Amino acid sequence: LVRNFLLVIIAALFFGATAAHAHDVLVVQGLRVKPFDEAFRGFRESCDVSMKRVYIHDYDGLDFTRVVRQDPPRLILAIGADALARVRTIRGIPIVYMMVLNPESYLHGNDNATGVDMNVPPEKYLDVLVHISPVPKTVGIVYDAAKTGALIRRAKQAASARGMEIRALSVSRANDVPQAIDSLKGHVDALLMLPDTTVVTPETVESFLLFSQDNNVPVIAFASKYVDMGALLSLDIDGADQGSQAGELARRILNGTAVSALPRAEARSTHLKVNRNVAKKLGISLAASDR
Amino acid sequence: MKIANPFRLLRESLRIRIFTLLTFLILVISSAFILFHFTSESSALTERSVTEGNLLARFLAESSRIAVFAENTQMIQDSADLVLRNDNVASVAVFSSDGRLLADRTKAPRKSSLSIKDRLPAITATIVPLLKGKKKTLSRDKGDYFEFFAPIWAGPARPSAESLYFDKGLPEPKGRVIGAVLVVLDKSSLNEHLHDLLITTSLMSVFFLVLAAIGAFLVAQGLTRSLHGLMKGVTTLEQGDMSGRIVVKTHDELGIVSQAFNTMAETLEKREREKQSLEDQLRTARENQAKEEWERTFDTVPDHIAVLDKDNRITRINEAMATLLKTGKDQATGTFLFELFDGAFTPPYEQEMAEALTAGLTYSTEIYKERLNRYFFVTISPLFNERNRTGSVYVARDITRSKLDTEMLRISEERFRIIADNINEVFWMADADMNRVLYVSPAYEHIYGRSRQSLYEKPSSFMAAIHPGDRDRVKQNIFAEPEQRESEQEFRIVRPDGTQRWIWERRYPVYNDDGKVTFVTGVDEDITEKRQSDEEKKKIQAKLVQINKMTSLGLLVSGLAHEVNNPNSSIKLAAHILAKSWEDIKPILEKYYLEEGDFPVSGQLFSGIKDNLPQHIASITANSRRIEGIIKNLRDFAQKGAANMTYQIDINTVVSLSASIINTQVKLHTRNFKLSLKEGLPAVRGNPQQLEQVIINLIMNAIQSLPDRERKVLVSTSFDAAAGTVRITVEDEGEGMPKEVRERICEPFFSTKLDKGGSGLGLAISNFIIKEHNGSLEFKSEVGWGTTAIVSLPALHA
Repeated sequence: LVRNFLLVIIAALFFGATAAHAHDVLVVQGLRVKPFDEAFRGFRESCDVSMKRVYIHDYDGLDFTRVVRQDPPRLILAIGADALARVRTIRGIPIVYMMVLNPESYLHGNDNATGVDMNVPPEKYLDVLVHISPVPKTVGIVYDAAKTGALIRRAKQAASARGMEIRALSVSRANDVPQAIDSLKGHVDALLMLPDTTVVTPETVESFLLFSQDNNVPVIAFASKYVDMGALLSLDIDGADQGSQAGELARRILNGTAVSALPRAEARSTHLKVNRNVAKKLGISLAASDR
Repeated sequence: MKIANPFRLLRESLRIRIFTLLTFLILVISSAFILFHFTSESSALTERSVTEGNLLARFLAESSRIAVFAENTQMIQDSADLVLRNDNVASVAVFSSDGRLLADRTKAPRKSSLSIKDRLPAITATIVPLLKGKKKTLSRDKGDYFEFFAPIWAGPARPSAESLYFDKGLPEPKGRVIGAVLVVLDKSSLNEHLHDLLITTSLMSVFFLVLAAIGAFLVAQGLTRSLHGLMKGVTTLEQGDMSGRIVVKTHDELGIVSQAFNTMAETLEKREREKQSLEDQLRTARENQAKEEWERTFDTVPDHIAVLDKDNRITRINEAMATLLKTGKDQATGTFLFELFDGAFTPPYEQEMAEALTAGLTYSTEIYKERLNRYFFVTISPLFNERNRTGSVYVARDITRSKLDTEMLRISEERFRIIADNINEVFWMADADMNRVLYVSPAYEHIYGRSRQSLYEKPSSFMAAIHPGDRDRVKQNIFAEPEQRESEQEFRIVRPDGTQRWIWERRYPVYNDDGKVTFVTGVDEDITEKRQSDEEKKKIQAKLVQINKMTSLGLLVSGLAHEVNNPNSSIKLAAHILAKSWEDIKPILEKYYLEEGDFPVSGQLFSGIKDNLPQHIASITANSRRIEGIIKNLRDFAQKGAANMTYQIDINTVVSLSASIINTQVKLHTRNFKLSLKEGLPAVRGNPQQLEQVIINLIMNAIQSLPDRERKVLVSTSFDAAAGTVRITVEDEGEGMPKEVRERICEPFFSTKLDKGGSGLGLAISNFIIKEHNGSLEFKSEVGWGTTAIVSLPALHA
């Protein structure tokens, strides 16, 4: 009888201990924006475990690391760069990120984290350009070597493989961007805007679009909002797909796969958005349908 | 009609008044309207200019944003020229974020004051708050031109990664100012606009005013023309001609008014006639009624009234007069008043009355009509028509009753005055608060020695008269509540000449019907003599009591002396025999004792008592003698007065003799006994043996009070020239006496030494002897310090 009673107590202790892990995943979201919410939904669909979702701005001024330690999850999902910046110092709990532009600048060889970044591979842009007519021969890019230098190298390789030329101008500050764009006058058939925080500012965007207007050169952008402003087309990342991509990573980590065994991924899926009015004005026709 | 006085015209002509009023009203309204129009227009123009300037400044800031951001001078100038193309823009300038002038464009033919380069320092200072992002826009009115400043905003210096992708839901980006623009708007075209506006509105107002004046004149004329006929009709009515009618021409409001007026005039005419006839009737009725009323009043009045004609003959008398004179009202007519009143035939006209009537004055007097045995108050007033005296009215009021009352009161007052003036006591009346003296009888002056007037004028002088020792008591009593005041008290007063009197005062409050004290009366009696005789009586009575006491004591002592002396003589004789016997028996018993040995005698051994026995026998003798002495003293005390008091005595001799008699006794008690006798004392009259007895007594008392032989006794004599007495003082340093002993020390049979054989008579006898010598015996004593006895005797020759 006594033995049975002890077993009951031990069982109770055991379940109590597992109950201490209140949630499997702690979701830390940076901004309350629609794309992030969509990404979260995608994550939840592909990785259905118990989770707690917090907004990083609700913890402004608090030591977030300590907050997490009080109720440690099995995994942390960081949505957005802000969230990743706050959780990257937490050790011992695997971190999965998504919707982050340049994760390397936050992680610097942190083995404990993996995830999906927002960079669309430059090959994809060039693949789209092949489908418009006339096909641009020379594509101008203004970039900050410190931020998107690696992308430019990949882009140049991909361009030559497709019979195109990349004319890239490096700037180190935003103020030089309008002039750099201006200097491309007459030398390029298309302008490619890459997600580079030095190059893309509200002012420089105008320069891009004015240049497009003045010189009849299409602008290829990385976000649909620029299409609305006058770019020809954009390749948008798919938030929900990013979520499911990250969800797969999380599921594998929770199932026991080591974080280091899971490489960091680029955006897998994109949406193409075209401004037909601009296309008409520029005299461009699109061979491919929106995908 | 002259145009000379426009104000008179304005006052008298309704037409001109209406015209002027309307014109003035229109003038005011149009002026107000034009003023309002001009002000609002001009402010709208200015506002438009300002709005335009601000818009241009903001436009320039926006359009030159990228150029400034890229710091491209050519692009900046292009943007500036675009703005400069606007009509009113005089000059344009663009500044960098550190206040540097990036571009400066001015339209060619302009005044030098609009040049921006000349005013650069002032402008740079102005744009500082803009560059710091503290202000959105800034505009200044510089007189000839406007200045508009706007900051050039750019996005955040370091955009976030998310902001590259999305706009919605992102936190508001923190912009920054990367420069500022200035747009100068020339005011000259604005001023031209305002000038044109002023001329237009002025012309409009003049035109409108002329139009309005014509309109007002027509309106005034139309209004007054219809009123004219109405006016005429009303004027006729006003002059009292009710038959006048207005000619009705129109059927408008004025026509209706005229119609109504005509109807009203008809009604008025009819009413006027009716009113006239009614008034006539009423007047007649009133005259009759007034006459009747007057007649009734004339007869009802209790005063006796006669109306006389110019010659003083009666024309009419009233009922009261007729009753008084026992005549008919008609019979009296034509007679003279004095005939009826006095039964006389000659007029008893007083000179004054006649003169007053002639002078047209009213005359009043009091007269006594002997025939009627009544007093009358008579008033004769003259009657006048327009010019002359037509007669007079004679009014006699019977005042016999009040006359008698007054007389009775006078007699009563006279009686009171006689009583009050003649009583020996002071009779007074004062108000309830005792603050005002209403009456005080003449006896006050005799008893208090002060004038009555002084008391009336200053009631508090009464308090000053009271002896200071009694004042508080009297004051308390007098000013207590009326119900609490004692009704009688005795007190002393001090008269101005310094003499004292005793007063017995009785007081009585007088109550009114409400039970309140209205005033206080009192009687003060001088009881000084009565008191004095009372005191003397008391003294005599005390003396009689004392004499009676002493007589009884004398009788007692005589009897006692006889009864005691006889057995005492036997005891003395027996003791003497016993002593002699013992002398004879002693040798025999001595011999027996030597031969036979000792033997008991009355419980003791013979050897023990043989030497004491003679002493016992001597004691019997001594005590027997003492009894004899006491009895002798008592007898002397009882038989006082019998002593011969006619000797002239030198006190010093008496004192020395006394001291020598008791010298042995003195030495037993003290080593410090002193005599201090004053030389040349005057003699006293009395009995030397008695005085010796007193002094011995006093010295014996003194030495017996000493607790040991070191204490002092001093006997001294002196002369008190002021009192005329010779004094003997016996001073000791003995035990002294408490107060209660000292007070009773001269009473017979009072002694503190009864246990030591004191009789209690020594000082009583001494006191008596000194009193017999017209002197005094006093004691001063303090317990523990000693006693001083002082004998004062009147000196024979001072």
